[in-house]
Amino acid sequence: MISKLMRFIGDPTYTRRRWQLFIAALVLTVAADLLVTKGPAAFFWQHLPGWNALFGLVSCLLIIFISKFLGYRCGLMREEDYYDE
Amino acid sequence: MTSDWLHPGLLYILGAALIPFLRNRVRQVYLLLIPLLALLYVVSMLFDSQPGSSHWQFQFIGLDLILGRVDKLSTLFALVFTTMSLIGSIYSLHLRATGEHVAAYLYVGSALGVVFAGDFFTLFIFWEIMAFASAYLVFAQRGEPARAAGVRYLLVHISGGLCLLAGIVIHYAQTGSSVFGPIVNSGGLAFALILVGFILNAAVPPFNAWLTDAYPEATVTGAVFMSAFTTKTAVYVLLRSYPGTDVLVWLGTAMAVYGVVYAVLENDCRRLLAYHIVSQVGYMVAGVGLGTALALNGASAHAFAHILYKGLLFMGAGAVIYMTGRRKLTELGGLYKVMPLTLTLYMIGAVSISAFPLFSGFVSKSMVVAAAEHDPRAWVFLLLTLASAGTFLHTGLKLPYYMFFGNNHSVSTERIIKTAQSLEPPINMLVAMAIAALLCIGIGVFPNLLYTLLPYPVDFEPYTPAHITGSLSILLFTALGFFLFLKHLDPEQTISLDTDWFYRKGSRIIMWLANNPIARYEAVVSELVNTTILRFLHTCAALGLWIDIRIIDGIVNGLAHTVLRCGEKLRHMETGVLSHYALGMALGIVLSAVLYAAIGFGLGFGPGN
Amino acid sequence: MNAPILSIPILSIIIFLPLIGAFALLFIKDESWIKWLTLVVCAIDLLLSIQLMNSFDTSTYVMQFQEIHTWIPAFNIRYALGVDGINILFVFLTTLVGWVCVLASWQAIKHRLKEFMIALLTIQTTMLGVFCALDLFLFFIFWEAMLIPMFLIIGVWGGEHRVYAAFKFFLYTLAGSVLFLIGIIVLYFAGGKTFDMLALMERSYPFQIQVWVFLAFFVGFAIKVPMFPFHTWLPDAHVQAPTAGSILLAGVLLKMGAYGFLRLSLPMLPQASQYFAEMILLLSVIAIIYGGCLALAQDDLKKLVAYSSISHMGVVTLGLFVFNIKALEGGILQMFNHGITTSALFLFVGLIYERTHTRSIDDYGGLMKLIPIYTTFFALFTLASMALPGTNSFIGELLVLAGAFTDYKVYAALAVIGAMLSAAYLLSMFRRVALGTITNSALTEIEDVNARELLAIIPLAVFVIWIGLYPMPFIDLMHVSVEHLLQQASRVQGAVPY
Repeated sequence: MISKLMRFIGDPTYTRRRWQLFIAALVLTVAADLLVTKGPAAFFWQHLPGWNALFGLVSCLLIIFISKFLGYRCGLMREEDYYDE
Repeated sequence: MTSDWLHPGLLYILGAALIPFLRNRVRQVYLLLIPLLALLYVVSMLFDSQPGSSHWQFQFIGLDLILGRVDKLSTLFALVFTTMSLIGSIYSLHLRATGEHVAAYLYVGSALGVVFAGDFFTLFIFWEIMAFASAYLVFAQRGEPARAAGVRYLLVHISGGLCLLAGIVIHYAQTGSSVFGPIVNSGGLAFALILVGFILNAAVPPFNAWLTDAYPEATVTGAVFMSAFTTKTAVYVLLRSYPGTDVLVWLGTAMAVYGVVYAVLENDCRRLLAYHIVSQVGYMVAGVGLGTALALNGASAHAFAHILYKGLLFMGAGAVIYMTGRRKLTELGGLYKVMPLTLTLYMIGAVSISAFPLFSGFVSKSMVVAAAEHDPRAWVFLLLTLASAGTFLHTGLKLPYYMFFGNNHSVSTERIIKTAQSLEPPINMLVAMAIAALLCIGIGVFPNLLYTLLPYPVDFEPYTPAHITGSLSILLFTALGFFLFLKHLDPEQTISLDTDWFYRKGSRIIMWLANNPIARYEAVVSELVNTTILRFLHTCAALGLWIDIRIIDGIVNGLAHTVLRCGEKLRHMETGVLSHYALGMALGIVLSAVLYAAIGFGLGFGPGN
Repeated sequence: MNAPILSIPILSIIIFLPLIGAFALLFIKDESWIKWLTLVVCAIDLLLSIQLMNSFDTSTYVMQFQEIHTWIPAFNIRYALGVDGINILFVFLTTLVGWVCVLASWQAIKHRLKEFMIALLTIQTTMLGVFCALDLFLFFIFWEAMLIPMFLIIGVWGGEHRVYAAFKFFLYTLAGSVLFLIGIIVLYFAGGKTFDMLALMERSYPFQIQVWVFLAFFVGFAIKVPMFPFHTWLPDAHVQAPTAGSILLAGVLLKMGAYGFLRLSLPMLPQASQYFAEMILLLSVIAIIYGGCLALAQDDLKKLVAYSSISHMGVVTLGLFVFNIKALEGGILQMFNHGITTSALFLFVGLIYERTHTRSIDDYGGLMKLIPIYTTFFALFTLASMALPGTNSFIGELLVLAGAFTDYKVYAALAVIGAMLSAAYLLSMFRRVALGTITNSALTEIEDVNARELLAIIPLAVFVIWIGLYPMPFIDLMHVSVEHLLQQASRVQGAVPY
């Protein structure tokens, strides 16, 4: 059973199906997030609708691009034999 | 010394001595028995109604040592340590060589020693033993990179240990007590030194490089142990000594983001996981710094959960390395077909660390974040949530994608996949991973089981609808970002420079200094003796010799010469003619008589007689 | 006087038994007999010193087992011996090191074995005499007498440049001894024409005299310890000496310098000692770091251990001059510890040299696989030298640091840095020698340690672990005496009856 699941996730033939399920999950989550009652919020932005979704996306992008910036522009990434004499 | 308590660490330390003498099945049973016994004992301690007690106290060179300080916090950590040691033992059951097991047991035993330590000196002794025992796990991998990494690991830990020792000694000198507890006197030297010693073991940047340097080089089974103990013991001691220290909030938050940022650049799968240790420990450190009951509970709970899911992640990655021999993401991929079980179990660990609802991270990490929210500290809250997203990005998406799916693997991996039916690791590794996975799910579904063990009463409800939808939104949209920008995340064959650059390049400078100026100076001074003093002495000696030969010998020779001459002359007087002898005799008698008279006259008849 | 005076002059026996043995050796021709007789003599000496420690009364600082006979009444010179908590450990150390040296030289000395053993036994007598002497003149005689057999040991049985090293050793030490003698003579007159050490301790001398005598003593002792900058004789002497010579030098001879500070400078010249304390602390710290840096740069195994000795003795002198009981006990204990661990390290260097005939670290490598027992013990002593908790040096260093941090934070901090350096070079050395791939293919034939070598190694290992885990008996042995010494050394003015 597990291997069936794995094949579903890995096999290229199911790509479209996977995307459809994924988008559905995204929509459902945002909808649920908008509908639930939130407790007292400590910060002002927590009242924005869909804040969590936006934050997730933005965080992801920030991390990727800042890291790449640091890696390439700031010289953090080097060849594998950098430390060998 | 109350004798009705047994130190669980003792079981491991003494038990380690027996391991090399057992063979095969007997050894395997033994390796499972010791952690099981320890675990059962710690569980029984949980039902002990004594709130806090001290055992095994004794005197040692004028110091009060307390080996058994038992309370909720130490019992909590002891519980997760013994559980993890059982899981790790199962995972490493297949090993033939015994060295790793002995080292691992010493490691676990001394970690328990630190957890139950009631005074600083006991803590320090076990702290050092941990460093050496875990260093063995790096050396055991053999091969030059592992050996070099092991030496660096050991040197960093010894230096940190010395820093800690200096701080402990100063603290003892200033306060007269070495009891292990909260350290007041913020700003003192002892405060700073002990803090540095602790945060070095917690891998707080800039002291984090040892972890990301050494963990990927350790053995597959060794890394599982290492991921659990050193850093969490450091979190434990921070919880005891520095709760509410403000600087830890900032360090922890920075750490959480730091680990995540570096992980983006990583190619080695275990180094990526190591950076995530740095990131997750950041949550714990920030929790300690926040200091409220919720925050401290959160740090403890997160440590507990983290040991289990990080162990699971390392076990999964280790299994891949064990079966394929590859560790770089650029060389892995497509394994989902042949390692489905490993993948599933790994993913359970991944979603746990990402704090998906129904898994352990959800109920533990959110306590720390909530504590930041209540404080309220806006930046801390935002950055910790950002780091959460990043964690899911790497551990839950990037790593499994490139390890198990993905297409850019090397030719040889391709060949391995094509030929094998199933590449699942040996059954013991799968069982170990399954146990850890079950526990991750168990804690996630029944959080109160964990909450009752926490040091402070818990007033936190993780499963609010808002929380669930909020977390899911963040996570799923992070995933969206991942899939949209997939090609930017492709791993590359590079390494990233971390703070270890300073001491790796720096050590070259020290060696140059030692070899050149200092050694040259030493050589010159040594030779100075030759060139100046010895020459001076030679000159003196030569002078003395000259005096000896010319003057003293000269005098003696001269005297001898004179005597010989006189003898010669006197010889001439022996003419052989009788009349000469008669004349001589007569002259002699007259001379003697005159002399006698003169002397007698002078003595006898002198003035004043 | 309530100190037990044994009717058997046990101290004289311990001191002179080796000399008698040396004399007996003159008449023996068979090599095997020579070795066994020397070993038996050293064993008896060792057992006697153990018995001495057993029957030692730890509750008093008064000298025990005293033997006092007038010797040269015209100058008030007496033959006076005694032990208290401070020197009893060194008597034991010397006999133990003697035992180790005989075993180490069993196969290593090929020519003139008889003369070598005679020199070994003679030097045992002189070293034991230095530690037990209670009369300054007697002390000086033993101190000087030690030079000749050591000179011979280095100069005859040493390495390539042995003559140079022997001469350097001899001249340096002699120069120091001349100044030492001048100091003794001044003290003799200032103290009322007596050489009795205990009486001299009771007196109070004018500050000017104290300063000059202290400096005269200082040069003599500092050369022996060796302190920076008088240390340059040590590396050559150690490298060129045969294994037993290095063990004797590092194990016992170096301690005699520090013992001089303990027994003479601190109690007799307290104000001068306090005055110069900071200078000595500074020199100690320089020695710690300088020795450590130089050890890092070494490729010759023996030279590396020699420089590490300079570094470790720096910790000792640091402990002696912070005027704190913990540090003082730590310093004395560390002297004993260093004697054990460095003797062991030189022993191990000697063992590997006998097998491979090279001392270059690059020629080793991978010994762990070839000779595991050797490497395991070697690891133990390396870790002990690094002051790992659980080993003897850790206790000594901890005590010294604990004492030093109260008043001299900067110096203590620098000493900690020195400890980091020592970890670095010792780990590096161990890694290159024992771990790694086998670099020298000629090594594959070597044998692991045999029973005789184990007999030398095991007593040393026992003490490394015993003191590391349970140092109380040793500290109890010296505690009362050290307390009294600290009282004597800390007095600001005035005389204190002994």
